[in-house]
Amino acid sequence: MATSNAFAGADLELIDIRKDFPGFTALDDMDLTIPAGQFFALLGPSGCGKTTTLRIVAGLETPTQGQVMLGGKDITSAKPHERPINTVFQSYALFPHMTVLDNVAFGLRQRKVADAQKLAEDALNLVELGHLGDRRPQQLSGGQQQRVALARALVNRPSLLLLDEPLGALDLKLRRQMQIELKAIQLEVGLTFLHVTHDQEEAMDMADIVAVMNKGRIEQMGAPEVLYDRPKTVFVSKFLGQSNLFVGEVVEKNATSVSIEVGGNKITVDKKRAEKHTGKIAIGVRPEKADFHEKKPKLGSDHIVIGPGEIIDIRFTGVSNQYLIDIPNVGEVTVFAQNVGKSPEIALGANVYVSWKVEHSYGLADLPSGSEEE
Amino acid sequence: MAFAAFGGGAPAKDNSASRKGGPIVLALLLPGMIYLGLFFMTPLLSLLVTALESPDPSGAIGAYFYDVNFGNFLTVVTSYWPQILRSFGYAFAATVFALAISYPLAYFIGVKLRTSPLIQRLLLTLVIAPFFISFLLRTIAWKQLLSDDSAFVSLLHALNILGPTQFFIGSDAAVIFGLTYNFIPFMTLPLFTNLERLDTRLLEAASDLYASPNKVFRKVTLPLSMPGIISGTLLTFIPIAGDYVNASRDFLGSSKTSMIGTMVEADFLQNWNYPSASALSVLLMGLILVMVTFYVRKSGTDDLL
Amino acid sequence: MNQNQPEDPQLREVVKSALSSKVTRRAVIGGAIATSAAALLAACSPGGGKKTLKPAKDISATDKQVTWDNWPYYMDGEDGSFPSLKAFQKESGIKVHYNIKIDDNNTYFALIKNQLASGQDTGADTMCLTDWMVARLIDNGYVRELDYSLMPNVTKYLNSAYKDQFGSFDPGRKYSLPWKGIIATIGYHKANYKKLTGKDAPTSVEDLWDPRLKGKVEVLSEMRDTLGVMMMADGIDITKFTSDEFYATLDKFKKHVSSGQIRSIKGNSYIDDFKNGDAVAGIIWAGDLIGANIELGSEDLGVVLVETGSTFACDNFVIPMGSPHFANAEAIIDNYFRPEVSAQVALAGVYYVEPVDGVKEIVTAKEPALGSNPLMFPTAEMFATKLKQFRALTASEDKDFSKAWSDASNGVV
Repeated sequence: MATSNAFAGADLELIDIRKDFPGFTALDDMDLTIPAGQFFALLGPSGCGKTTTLRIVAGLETPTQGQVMLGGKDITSAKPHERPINTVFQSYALFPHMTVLDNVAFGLRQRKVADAQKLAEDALNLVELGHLGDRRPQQLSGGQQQRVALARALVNRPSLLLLDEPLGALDLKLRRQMQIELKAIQLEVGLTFLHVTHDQEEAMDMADIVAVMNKGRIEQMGAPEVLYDRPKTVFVSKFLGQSNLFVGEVVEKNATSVSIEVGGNKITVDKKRAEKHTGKIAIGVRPEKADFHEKKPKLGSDHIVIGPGEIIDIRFTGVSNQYLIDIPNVGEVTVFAQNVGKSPEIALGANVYVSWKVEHSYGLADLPSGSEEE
Repeated sequence: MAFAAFGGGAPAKDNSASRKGGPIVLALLLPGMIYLGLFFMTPLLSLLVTALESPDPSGAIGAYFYDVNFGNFLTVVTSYWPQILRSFGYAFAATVFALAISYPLAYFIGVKLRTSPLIQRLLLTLVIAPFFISFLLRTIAWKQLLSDDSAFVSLLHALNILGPTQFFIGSDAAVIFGLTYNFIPFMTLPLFTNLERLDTRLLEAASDLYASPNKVFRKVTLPLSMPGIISGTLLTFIPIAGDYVNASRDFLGSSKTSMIGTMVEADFLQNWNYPSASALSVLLMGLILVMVTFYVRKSGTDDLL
Repeated sequence: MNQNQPEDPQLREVVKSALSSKVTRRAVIGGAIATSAAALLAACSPGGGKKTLKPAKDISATDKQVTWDNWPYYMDGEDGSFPSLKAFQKESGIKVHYNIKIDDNNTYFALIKNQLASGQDTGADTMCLTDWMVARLIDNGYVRELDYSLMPNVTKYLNSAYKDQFGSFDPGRKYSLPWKGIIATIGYHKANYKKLTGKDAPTSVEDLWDPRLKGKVEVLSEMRDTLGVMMMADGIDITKFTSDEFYATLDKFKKHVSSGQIRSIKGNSYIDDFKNGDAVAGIIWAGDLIGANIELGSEDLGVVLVETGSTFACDNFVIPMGSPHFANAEAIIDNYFRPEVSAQVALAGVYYVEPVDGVKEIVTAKEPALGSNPLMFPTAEMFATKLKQFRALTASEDKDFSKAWSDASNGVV
């Protein structure tokens, strides 16, 4: 039975974790450290291994190899009920045969905490459901159930709180509201949160650190803004927001930058923002960092200009317009332009040049699929 | 009504559909009502009428006249109270044994084998398979297998569990064994249908909330499987209390294992004492109804799901 | 008739019409709804007292068939060949439906009692039932007086012992005729008996109460056989005993049941218990053990005719009031009183006592060992001294003794 429940949370460390299921490997050599008190998000598409990771941390799955450390202690072989970790399940998993209050008090009663009733009531009040304590879970709405599940986990003051896509079943509006509440609660109680989600906006919005997972591995980890600004792999650049990617041989290299040639255009990236400096590499830029011009702009070497190409699609998305420009020998490039009434209006079929600042380029470690053989 | 427990589900809150009625609904209900009237209500009332008959003054065996003689009930209670108590004692013991055997079995088949539906179905078939053979034949087979010269009884003698002049057939244990064996599927199947639907995520949630495996079972699995346990225990207890085959002297019983059913059989077939047999049957029904109502109330099935 | 029906005149009328199965619409409407409902229920429920029944119209001459219900192991060719039945069918032109339908007097009676009581056709034109059951049927007026003029062979070959000595329940055999006689006596498993007691064979009823046989004694559930044998051992004449004598022996029986000396009391399947070791000695039907030995091809089981006497009872033909084939039934009964036909049945393996004179001679000629077996063909001396029939009981004795016996067998204190 867990005895130490650090109020401030504890470091979680996954060392060289591997998990094999019959027929496939869900996790492969996974290393991960989550510092105490962080709101950490594991982001990835379904089937990437993020839920398996969470279940290994909770003790619901045993890793094939590797170690799970919590607050410096090896808990790899500890049973779920022996770990000072609680989970908010995707399905909420509220006990249908108990009242809401009894659900919340369940963990406290198992640990024979004095005053379980009072603490459970407080936890329900924290999620603003104090008045529904004697209802059955199935009498509550989805959002309310989610909050009960949260209260049921939080009331135990675990060293680590695991959230398994807890907002997945809620509608958009409720989801936003819950995201704000969750973040507020995390700040208030100061626990370590490990949040698993496939919703990149949710992850970026709430987490201090986001780890992007793909095919059983962590592709990249960091603060949301860093991940967005400098994705290191094709997967991360596409999973987090949108990317324009250009693939070509390095044709020019100097002390600070690397350039490739794509369809007669030179595309440059700062050396320190590029993972690879030789051979065939991929360089990307975010659509909102790019701009387009009807005439070839005269810009310094701190800018990249490519084109011309034809505008083949325009989408109005409200605050910005999304232009799709087809540049011969380069491919399609997406550009977001703020909808600020700029004139003259650019029409479909117009020929334009695309530009962006070199400092916004990023060089990736891998190449988009299908371009390796070129 | 107590039998709502068999449904296991939540009571329907919205009955508006059935309230609409109409001639079609009535027409659909009619065959069922006629069936119930003809094959349930009529025999039941006939039984009640018979239970109140008095012996013919001529003293002829098997001759009775219509009367309102509640004395029959008093007579059967005063003469057969040991058999009545024994019936419920056997039924209780056999139900407990059946539950103890069926629960782990049903849990294993319904929960642990979810990932291999083929083996699951195979095992389920094995549970039911003996029932393709007649109840009587199976019981007679057990009588042979457990006879005095059998290996089983020799073992009991060798282990000094039974004295040299004690034997298994005809003992309380033999009858309880037979009852347990014969009614186990009525316990296993409702438990299985319940446990098959058990949400294992709730068990994970409980262990995540510091409950040891033992506590997970007591606090979550067991309460969630209560509807299955209740229907299983009712489906075994009720027929066992009225069984007369296992305890019969021709099967696993002896003169010392007579149950209510034995006495109903004796009164009806041998003594031609139809009022006594009927009064005993009515009494059995009444006692079971009272017990079941109390049991279902007590275990609070309406709290479950 | 009136004494058996409700006192309320209105209800009585309705009940009467219901019982006579002539419930007219008017009669039902005439009664109050409650009473008519009660009447309908009453019509379905057992009960109702004695009625004077009349024989059904005999259509034998135009409907050449007869149905006979009997016990198992009572006919030659029970695998379905039935040679003696086929021969009769051919000779008489009467189609025979032979049903092996009786394995217990009471359960069989329960099947047909409503038809019997109302004088309707039970489906069988004749059936063979044990003495005491026949006595009840005669008492209740359910069976038809026989016409001996149609049965020349009966008149000629019926062994005289069966008329009075073993027909006390039916003086002059007016309503019933014996099919086979059954001796109840002591039987034992030779090897197991020797193993437990060290003796070769039991010689008296007292030997059954040897403590070394505790739990291994099995007796018949037929009161008249088990108690009859025990009463004779107590020196009681079972052809004329008092009720006190009956209860005195019954008390002994109860004592042996509650001590566990007698473990089992059975009506059938008891032979299996002797085979599998559950029973070593007891009171049994001699014919069953002879049959079992022959079936097993061994001499494992032994039968002892004890000095104090054995009971003798018969299964008897009766013809229910409702039978529409009275003459056909008498024809087939008469057929089996022909010595050569009965001998054919005996030689085919029906090892019970033959009530037909002349059978012994035919059997002895073909199989001397069988012909000289006193358990199949008791001598006149045995009939006179060793074999006794339990006396006919009055209705109230029948009722009280049966109840006392049933309670003792079921352990009701």
